[in-house]
Amino acid sequence: MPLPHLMSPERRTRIAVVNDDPEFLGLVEQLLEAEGPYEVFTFRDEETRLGEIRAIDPEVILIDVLTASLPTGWELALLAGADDQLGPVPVIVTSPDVPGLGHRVEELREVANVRVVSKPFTTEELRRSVHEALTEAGPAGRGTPEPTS
Amino acid sequence: MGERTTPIQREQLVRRQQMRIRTIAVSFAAAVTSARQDMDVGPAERDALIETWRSWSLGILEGYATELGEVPASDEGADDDLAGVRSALAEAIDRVRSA
Repeated sequence: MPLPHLMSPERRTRIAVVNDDPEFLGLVEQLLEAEGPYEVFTFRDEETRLGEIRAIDPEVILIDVLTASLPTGWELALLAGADDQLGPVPVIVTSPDVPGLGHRVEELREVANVRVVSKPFTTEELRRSVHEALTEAGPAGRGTPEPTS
Repeated sequence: MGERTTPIQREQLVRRQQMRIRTIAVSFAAAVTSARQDMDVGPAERDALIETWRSWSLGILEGYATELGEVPASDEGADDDLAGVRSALAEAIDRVRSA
């Protein structure tokens, strides 16, 4: 349950972005903050703990999953999906290996509201995916801000 | 496009185009790095994937170049702004071609 001070009208929609590539993190942060009333929190894969994501109380989690054989991003997505607080939060998985993820995406869908964005991608694809995730999340997502462009 | 742009519209267009260009270059580079370091596929399949992404990325960037060619200059500053976008576009295309 979010803390009351996090529900203030001034609060922007919070997006947690987990990735091991600093350039990619910088890009997504700049892109999303330019697109709408989003506040982006970035995390490096190898340093990220679920508690850190929980602490910012995000409306969307964007996690990079390189391949199904690598546990880091994948396990984090599964843990977030199974978490009491983060479970209802939509998860956007970015990956260059969408076919390789295969049945594991279905596994993740059993515990989380998940959508997949294939890398490489356009600004429009990422923006649309975030907007759709927020729209589908409805009140649980605490608002559905329109992109500014 | 095709109409004269104001300086504010032009600034927004430039910023938007710079971001679109950067998104393609960075997300392509990230995908290639992942494929080379982490993806559990054979070399032939990996190379084929990279070439597919490269072709897609170059197609998108060429589309941006076409859009840019349709923007009329509104004043002297417009040429400088558009030159900056064209330069970013050329760098992104080089990066995608050489990655």
